[in-house]
Amino acid sequence: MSNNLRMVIVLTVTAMLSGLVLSYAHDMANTYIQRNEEAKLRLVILDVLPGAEDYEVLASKTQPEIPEDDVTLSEAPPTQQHIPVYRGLDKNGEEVGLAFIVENPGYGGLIRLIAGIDTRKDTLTQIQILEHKETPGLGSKIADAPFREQFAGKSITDPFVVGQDVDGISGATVSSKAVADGLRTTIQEVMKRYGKRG
Amino acid sequence: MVNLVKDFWNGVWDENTIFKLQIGMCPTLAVSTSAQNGLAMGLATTFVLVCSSALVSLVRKLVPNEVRIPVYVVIIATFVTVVDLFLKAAFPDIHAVLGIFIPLIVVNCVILARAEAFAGKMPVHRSAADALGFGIGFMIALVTLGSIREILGMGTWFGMRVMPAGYVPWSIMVLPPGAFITLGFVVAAVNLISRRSTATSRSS
Repeated sequence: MSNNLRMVIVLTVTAMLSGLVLSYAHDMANTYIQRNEEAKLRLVILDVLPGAEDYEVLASKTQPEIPEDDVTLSEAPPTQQHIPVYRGLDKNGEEVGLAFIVENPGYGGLIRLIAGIDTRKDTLTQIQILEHKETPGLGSKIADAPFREQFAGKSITDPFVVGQDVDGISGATVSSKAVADGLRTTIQEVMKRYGKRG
Repeated sequence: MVNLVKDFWNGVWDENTIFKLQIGMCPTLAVSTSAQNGLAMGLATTFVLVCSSALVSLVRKLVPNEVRIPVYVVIIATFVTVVDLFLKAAFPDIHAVLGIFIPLIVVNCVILARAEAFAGKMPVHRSAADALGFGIGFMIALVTLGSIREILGMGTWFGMRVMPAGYVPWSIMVLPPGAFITLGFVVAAVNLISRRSTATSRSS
């Protein structure tokens, strides 16, 4: 009995101490990890918005900007309600375009990508896949140049339907559709909120 | 003192994880694509190995025999998570390359093997010397493999160009087959050296 009790106590104390150490380490590291991620995000944003020297955050995951009178929000799928949107600015502080994050479930998990809109021409500048868990060799091709580059220069009013104006990847219909559908719904949502008003 | 040196040298050469015992091969083959990755992985593993061996040795009399393995694993996993967070915070690029292999240090059999075979029975200073030896031995192996593969496969060493400009890199060396090919040659060389040295020590 006393031996059993001792085992329980030793295991409990070990687990508690481990938890304590880990939560402390996590707190310490978290600020730096977030700073790294912001720096990385900055690079991608400036990359998808040619001509941009700087950007301002219109909405992010932590600070979703929800227009007060926007009751149509509920039309967007739940994952799309907080779309991080960034406005790219050139040297003179003029808007060159909008960059935004698209999240849509693919075949193996959530696909996260960033897309840029040239707001003067109303065309997509380019898209970059940030994260995906698609099948290697099939769905993973959404991150490859041939698939991604077909979106560059597309008008934002295009239908974004695989088989019509988007070439899908054979063997990866779900992944291709996830990218096209995500882009379509998110572009509509972003333009509704931040497109040229009036 | 002699004991400590012996404990240390045991892991570096006599029972080198990769060259002699040939365990812990999974991270070895996967991350030894460049000298820098090998060094980072080696350092991370050495840190975990030394910390967990020392701590296991410290608590060895408090932990009941029946639950020693879960306790060891929790200790090892804690240190691995700390390393993982540290790399993510301080060296995000290295963390992105090593990725899944950092959390997998938890199940690197060398670490549990040293805790179970040595640290669980020996005093702290000897356990630390033993763990340091095994860690450094592992690191030397990874840096050796990484250097050979990087020099032949990319023409660089720690990112610096070492091969002449006209050198055409053998890309196979940085791909998975290159890991097996390089390991085969390096193990053969190590066996040759140790056979020679036992032969000379016997004849003298």
